[in-house]
Amino acid sequence: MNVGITLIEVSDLVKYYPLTKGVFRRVVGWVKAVDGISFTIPPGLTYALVGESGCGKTTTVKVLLQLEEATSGHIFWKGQNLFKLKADGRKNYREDVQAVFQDPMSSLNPRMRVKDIISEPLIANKRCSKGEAFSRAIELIVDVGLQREDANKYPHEFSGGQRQRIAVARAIALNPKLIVLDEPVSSLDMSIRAQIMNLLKKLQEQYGISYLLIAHDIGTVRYMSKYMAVMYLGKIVEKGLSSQVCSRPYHPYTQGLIISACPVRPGEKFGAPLPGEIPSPINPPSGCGFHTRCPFAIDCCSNTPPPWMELQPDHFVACHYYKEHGSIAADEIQEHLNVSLRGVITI
Amino acid sequence: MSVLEVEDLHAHIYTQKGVVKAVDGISLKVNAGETLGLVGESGCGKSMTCLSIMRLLPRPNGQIVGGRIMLDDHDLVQMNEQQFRGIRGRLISMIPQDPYTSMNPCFTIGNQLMEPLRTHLGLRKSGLIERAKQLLDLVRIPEAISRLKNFPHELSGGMRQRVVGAIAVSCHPKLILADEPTTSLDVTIQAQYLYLIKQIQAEFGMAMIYVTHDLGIISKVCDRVAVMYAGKIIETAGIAEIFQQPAHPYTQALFSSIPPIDHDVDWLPSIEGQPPELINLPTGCRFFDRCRFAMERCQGKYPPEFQVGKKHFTSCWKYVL
Repeated sequence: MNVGITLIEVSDLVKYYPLTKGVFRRVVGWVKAVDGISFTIPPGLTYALVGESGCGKTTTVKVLLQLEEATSGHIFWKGQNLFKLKADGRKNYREDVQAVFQDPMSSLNPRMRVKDIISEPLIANKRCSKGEAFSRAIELIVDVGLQREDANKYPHEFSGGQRQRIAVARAIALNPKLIVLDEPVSSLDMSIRAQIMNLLKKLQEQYGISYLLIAHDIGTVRYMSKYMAVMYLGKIVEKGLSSQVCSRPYHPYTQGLIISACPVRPGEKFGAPLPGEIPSPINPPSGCGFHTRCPFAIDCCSNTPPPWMELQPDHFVACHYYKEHGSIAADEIQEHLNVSLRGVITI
Repeated sequence: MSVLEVEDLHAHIYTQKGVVKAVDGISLKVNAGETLGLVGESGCGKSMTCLSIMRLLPRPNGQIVGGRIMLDDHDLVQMNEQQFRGIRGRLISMIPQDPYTSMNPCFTIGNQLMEPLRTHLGLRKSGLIERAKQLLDLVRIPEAISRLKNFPHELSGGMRQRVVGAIAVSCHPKLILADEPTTSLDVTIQAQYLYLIKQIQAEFGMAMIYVTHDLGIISKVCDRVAVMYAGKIIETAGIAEIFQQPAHPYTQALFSSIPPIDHDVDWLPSIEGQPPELINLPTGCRFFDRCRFAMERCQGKYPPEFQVGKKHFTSCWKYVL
């Protein structure tokens, strides 16, 4: 990605949480929630972070929304260091970056009317008068596919999908540059998911907003995002164009994820799943964090962190296997994936 | 040979707002060794169907108001509670959705694993421990003997759900009802669990009803699929037909609204609107107001079941000439 056109650049971001013991809260260890990740979000596009629970995607979001302080590393917002911004700049940043959360039941105040929920950011940031804010709220309500009359209702009067629409309207009220979508559709029913995803895509085109999408469903990520990064144990293991990563995953973990989620064709058996469970982030394995479960692990995986390699333009993977075997390994591993996907490895 | 036959089952839940017709006249059959997938969105009655079969509907508000549930020669609806206790956990067992709430946090997993063995199979002492150990080995939990003394909170979600699975198969039931057992698990752990379930099922030859809304899972574990919408089964078909030629407009729309993993799409066709409320059901087809092919007669009368292929049935007026 070209550095000149990035909206936000995260570089070597680290977030450790202390583990304390005793009355004096002596620090006895660290939970390495996010352990040195870097990515850049281009303007007007969607960047996705994928991974299983505990891989650090939500912690990344918390740091990005300035709800947590980073242990080390930098975030550059339009070229400026976010952690060194003055009160003024911070306020602007908070207006420019909004969020939509997973559960619209708990992220909307049950005692506020819809128009109050949506106009609150406008009024709090003194963008306009109360009257103007209400009329803008009505416009937004129509924009997200609800009825004008819904403005005076309370959140409990809506279904899950409609509530998520309200949350989206609130997020776009300030014309932000970036919206963080933390699992925006995973609490919704299947037929409603497509409605919300299409709404988000429509609004992106209309307003030119960037999205940072956090998800665990590969299908959602592929549909919504241009770029994606796969996280495992606080680190990014593979990143690149979503369509490339999904159709030609290189990292064994990405392959495992995709094999696990992909439907098998009728009459075929499904491939062997990845063995083992995710290790604890308190004492993550040395070297490559994935070597304990990796079917291709070699000696150096357990002691040296894997280097980044660009195997295709704009498609990076952190894996020793490719360092050792180069592009031959890429074909070989791809062969393995095809075999697993087609289910020749039977039970 | 069918293990379970459900005929015209009606289950209602009585609330202050009115009668919720959670299960509204469904019929299904499960053959020995077969896995039937029960698919649908939340509130379509798939969990209520399972709870009716287990006779575990919420009391006193939930009730089976009509129909028959035949397990071999036993009519489960007519049985009294005393008789049914010999069936529940012995001939039919259930794997509930959330392993965090389905196990009792005050008892060790050994204790909970041995309970059905003691009550149904009459095992005692060393035989009991031996069998419990075998079951944990079966679900691939290492160091089984020491694990028996663990409490549920000492296990990870995936392991806990495997213990729940072990409890479910402990008495070699004829039928297992799996109610979205992997929704609370991570994707790779989910794949391990499905793999294990299929292996155990093949080994014991049990029949299974697998409730889910995930197409990836359906394609991996099911032999036949029944799609539910607003309390009714609208389509049943073999696993190949349901993916290749879904017949009911709802099934078609549902399948095409799920973003694919293996290829790109520019725009997903979504189903607009919401499913009807189960308190206030329309007289005609329940998918009427969201259906692309809706005709006049769809509104008047509920469509009968119509055969569209070998073992492929659907309730839609489109196919009735």
